[in-house]
Amino acid sequence: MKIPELGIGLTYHPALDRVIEDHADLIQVLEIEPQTHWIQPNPFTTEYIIDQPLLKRLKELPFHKLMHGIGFPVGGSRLPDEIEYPLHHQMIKQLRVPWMSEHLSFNKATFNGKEYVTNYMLPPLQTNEGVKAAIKTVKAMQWHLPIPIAVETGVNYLRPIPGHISDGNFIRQVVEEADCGILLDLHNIFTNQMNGRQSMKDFLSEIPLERVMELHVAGGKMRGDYYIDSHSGKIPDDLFDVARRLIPVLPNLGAVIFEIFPDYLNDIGNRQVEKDLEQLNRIWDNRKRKRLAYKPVAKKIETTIETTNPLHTIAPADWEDHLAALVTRQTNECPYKELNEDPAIDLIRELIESFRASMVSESFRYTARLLMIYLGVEEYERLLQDYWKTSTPEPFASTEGANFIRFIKERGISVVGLNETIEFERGYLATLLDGKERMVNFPFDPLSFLKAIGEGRKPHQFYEGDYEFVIEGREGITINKFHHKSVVH
Amino acid sequence: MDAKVEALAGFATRHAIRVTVPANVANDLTLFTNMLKDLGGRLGCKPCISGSACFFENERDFVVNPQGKILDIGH
Repeated sequence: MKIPELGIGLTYHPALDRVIEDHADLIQVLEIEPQTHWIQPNPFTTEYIIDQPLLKRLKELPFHKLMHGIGFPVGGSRLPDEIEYPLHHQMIKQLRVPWMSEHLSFNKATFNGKEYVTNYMLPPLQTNEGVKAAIKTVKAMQWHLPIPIAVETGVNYLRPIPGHISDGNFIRQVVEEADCGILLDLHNIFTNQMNGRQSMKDFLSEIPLERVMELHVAGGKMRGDYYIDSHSGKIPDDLFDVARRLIPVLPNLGAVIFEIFPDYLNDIGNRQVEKDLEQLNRIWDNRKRKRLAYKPVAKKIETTIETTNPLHTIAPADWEDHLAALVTRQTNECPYKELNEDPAIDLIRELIESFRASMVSESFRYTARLLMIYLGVEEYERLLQDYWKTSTPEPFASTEGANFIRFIKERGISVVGLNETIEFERGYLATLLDGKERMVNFPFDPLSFLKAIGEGRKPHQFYEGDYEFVIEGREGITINKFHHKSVVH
Repeated sequence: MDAKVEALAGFATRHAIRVTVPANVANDLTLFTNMLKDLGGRLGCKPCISGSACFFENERDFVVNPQGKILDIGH
């Protein structure tokens, strides 16, 4: 498993363009999260397209590129959707990606016979059966992709379950049997330690460090009683200490990626990003000068311990279904006491809902603001709460937005300009995709109305009249479609 | 753009008024002044994270004043 040594990098997002430009001398590699650059043109079919102008821009950026999947986790019993492989192949080829990574987590489950995605990486079942399921899923992905795979060590907010395999040993068993690499996310295991799971020291003593191909570092923050992996701040000093000790001894390390969530960029600050990148570069340079010998340590493979706990014998698919149903509010209770009573269930619900609410606002920004302005924020949030119960999460913002719009239409909500605003937003999204001109009729001046909504206020006046609001078409981006035979809804 | 808005204000007519806007700037909430750079970033999957997203929180804070009231009551 020989991989190239690329250096220090950032997770790529267009919102980070300025940061990347400002600190280009400190960056050698960009990590692309492929699904963030895909579009689902029709929210009701599984058909995806790659944002080709963006792909072209990525190709031209003078950095090495890696890919880090976010929709394809390999820690559960459900195999990745084959529709995604051709898109992966295209991006791997065009960006000349030497290896890619995915999460050793799960994001698919079934409720009342319907398969859905949780839109959140959930922890796998850490039993012997869970190990077997993850190995099978990792191998399926390896078979389909032409480059080496590394699996990411995940965050787990749940309390440790007595009798289950420890976090480090679970990773070890999966990667050794599947013969794959490790993406060691230092902030994830730091988060786990902060929240009372395995210590970083114990975790690192259990995993086969010679399989670590990549490191992730990031900053987080407290939310209630939990430290969360929010990628929202500077890299903690404790994490730098671990990185400084670890990086010189990892024999097959190819890259260290600093993860920043674009929404928090203003909180972190450009100067802080620069400082952290400088420090990572110093550690990387030191590795090149003083590489230390690494001696793999043979570890005893831990297996589940017999207990009377029913979570000892649960099948991986059942674990996935029950945990997912709880955190997506499909149900308030499952047959397993440890899960029902774990306070992390509420935390994960809140985190999932923060994503869903953000996706609605991102895809239908004017509509969401209009509703907040006219209904009030509290009423809008109650509306969202009702919506969560009627619809499972969606991985694509366009689909989450479309489902929410369908929900508010069914509710028959009466707000001035609501229908026109929805049609306007639907129109420009469709025009962006296919380049065709569209027109929306407004019974009042649309520009002064949208200006007010854009400023977060009600219009001072409605200028009535018969207005045709035309969205100009230009070159659309509907090329290289990948179809799937089934329909989601 | 402000001039255009003012020109339209109060301009009622029996004929339809045609207002055009390029699709790739139509999403901008400061009145279409910035280009929409990344369609996938808006409509695709959210970045990898096990924390929380704050886009909605920012939007919510934008439309309320520090006392939690909706900004400006129109006519």
